[in-house]
Parts: sequence; C-alpha cells; structure tokens
Amino acid sequence: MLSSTFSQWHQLSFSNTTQTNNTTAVTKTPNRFLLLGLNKIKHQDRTYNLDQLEFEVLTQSLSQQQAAIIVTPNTKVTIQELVNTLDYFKAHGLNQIHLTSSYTEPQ
Amino acid sequence: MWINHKTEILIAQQSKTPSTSETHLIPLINIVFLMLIFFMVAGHIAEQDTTELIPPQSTSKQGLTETALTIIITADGNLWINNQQFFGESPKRLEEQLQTHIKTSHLNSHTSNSLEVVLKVDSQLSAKVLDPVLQGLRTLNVNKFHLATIDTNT
Repeated sequence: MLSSTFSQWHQLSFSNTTQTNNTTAVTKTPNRFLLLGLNKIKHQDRTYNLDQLEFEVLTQSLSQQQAAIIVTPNTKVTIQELVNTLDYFKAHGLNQIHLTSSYTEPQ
Repeated sequence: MWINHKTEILIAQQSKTPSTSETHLIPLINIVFLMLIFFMVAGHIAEQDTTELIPPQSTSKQGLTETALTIIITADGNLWINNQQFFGESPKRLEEQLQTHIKTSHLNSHTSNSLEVVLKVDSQLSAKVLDPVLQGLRTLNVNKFHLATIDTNT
C-alpha cells in the first residue's frame, strides 16, 4: 500500500528521552509504564491489559500530565501497539509523553 | 449551364462546412486552456513518498506538522531520510547521516533543540526499529518527534 495514497495524515507527538537513570523527565514522573507486548503494560509492579488499566492509576497521573513509556528492546511491541498506548494515555489527559527504550530505576 | 451552377453551389457549401466546425472548436479549446491554467495555479504539488508502508491507525485528529526532517521506515526495514535511502547498519553511520541531513537540508535556521522530526513507520514493525533512529537524533539534541498516523476509520 503506497503511503502517498494517504492524503489525511495525522500525528502523535512525543519526546525522545535519554536512557540513563539521571534523566529528569523519566525520573520525575511517577507515571512510568513499561510496555511488555501483546497489550500488556506494567506499572508500579503490577501488570495490566492496556484496555483494563484501572482508572485510579490514571487519575494519579492526571495531576502530572506527563507519562513515561518505556519500550524495552527485548519485547515484541509493534508500532501499532505503541500508537494504541499513546492514544490511550492522551485520551486520559496525559499530553507530555516521553518515550525511552530502556530505563534504570534510581537507587 | 444549370449543371455548372449547381456544382458551384455544392463546392461553396463544402468549403463553408469546415470553417463552421473550426469556429465551434475555438471556445472549447479556450475553456480547456483556462481550466489547465486554473489547476496549475490552484493545485498543490505534493512531494510523494517513494516508499511503501502501512501507517499505524490512531484516534488523533492533529494534522501532520510540516517539518524539515522526515524519516521513513518501511515494512521491509528500509530506512529513508528525506526521501534518500540510508544504507548501512551501524548506529554511528546513521548518526553521521542524520547529522549531514540536518546540516545540509535547509535546516540551518533551526537549532537542533527546536528541530522537530516526523517519523513514518510501518505499523507492524517492532517498536525497537525506532531505537537506532532515536538514539542517533538524541545525540544530536533532537528530542521532539511526531509519529505519523492515519485515522482509525481509514
């Protein structure tokens, strides 16, 4: 399918965050979500299905209005799944989304 | 005498017929040219992507930003930077290539901090294909990205 056939392109915006544990954007927000693939997402030691993610989790996040999405290189997360996650977070008012491929929790 | 007169009339009629049809064609040609000029002036010639991919579907309604740097990753994993195919495996080489594009592609007015990049990536690719691109751009202090999508109803 030719990409040029799509005249109505839209976009999802995000920031590209560095991978070190000194990164301010990722460490500052408590809203760190680890994509595990197959629509599974991990947040604060609990694993959820993306569509079953409890609303209480997201209401905590609303005050910060930012989230960090961490896609680990060893998972089979597709671009479509990443977009679904970005869509879901934006629909819940998280407008500043930082994307990183690996992250180490600060000690 | 009578025969000669009739022949003259016939010849006169035949010679008149083509000139009448030519007269009818002229407004038609005028209209065609006017339409051609209108579409040339009013039309928008968009730069076409040279590659094939199926974009991810999204509920986002935000129109795609015009940016100076567009990176395309096709279903077969080929990478294009501003419609030039990137050959090479090493992230270092990719970083160099991106740096060259930022310097040469009329991006001098941008500082890399303010530069925004559009990513057009096939929806079924693994998200890890973004890693080398994001790493390369991160080292060049490019941190703002737009992932191109299409409407979920498309």
